[in-house]
Amino acid sequence: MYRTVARFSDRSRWTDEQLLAAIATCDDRASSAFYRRHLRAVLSWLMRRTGDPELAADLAAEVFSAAMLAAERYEPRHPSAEPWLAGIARNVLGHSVRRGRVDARARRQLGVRALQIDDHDIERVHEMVDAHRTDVAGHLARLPADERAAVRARVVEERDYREIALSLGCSELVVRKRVSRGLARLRAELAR
Amino acid sequence: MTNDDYFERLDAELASLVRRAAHLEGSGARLYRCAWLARRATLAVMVGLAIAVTLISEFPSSASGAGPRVPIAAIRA
Repeated sequence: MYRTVARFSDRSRWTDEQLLAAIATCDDRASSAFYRRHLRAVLSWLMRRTGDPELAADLAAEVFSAAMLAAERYEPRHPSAEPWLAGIARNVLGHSVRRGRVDARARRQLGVRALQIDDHDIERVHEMVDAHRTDVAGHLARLPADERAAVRARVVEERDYREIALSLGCSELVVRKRVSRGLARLRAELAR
Repeated sequence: MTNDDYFERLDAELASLVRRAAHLEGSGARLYRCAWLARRATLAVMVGLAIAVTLISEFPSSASGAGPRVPIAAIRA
């Protein structure tokens, strides 16, 4: 009985879908668990595209604010909410680029106070991005060899499907399937 | 995360806003606040009833004020 209650109350074990449903019912502990689970991935994504830790930290606040606002409307399409968050991050970044300033609409709507970023926080961004890279590299290394080769060629080296198919000696369709399966496996591993 | 770094403060800020239903849209937020008030009111009534029941079961006569009275003369005697 105690174990069941403890497992239920330990939100770090909940799926993203459960966490987002709980956020929609104002569960602050679910909000915290969701944020902590995905912060490193979101920061890494933003750092890859901006190369600026201060900007990445600022945009991450906007991404999570937008995610909280959209939690009610979340529809799970994958085991992890990471692709959904990446979509939000893409919108936030795109809007910031178009406007020429950091998007803060979600923070304004939610009422998030302005938070100062100092040198220590910038170091933390680098630490979290490095830790995430190590995690991904570890999970990538554990993929089956054919999926690993396909994911590495497509995602890391950014080669097109035709070229990968030629180098691996299989059809484009097979490469696409391997990439898709490999990414799904990676997402599931990272969501744990 | 250390206690007061940017990411910790952001976590606390988001959690606090979620707790206060700031992330819900108009009707959703109102509904949530009404439900929250209703839950609190129900809880308060239940606690009040529990206290009343306990007091009445412990001191049945004093609760109604209808218990047998000791004659004053018996005390003064």
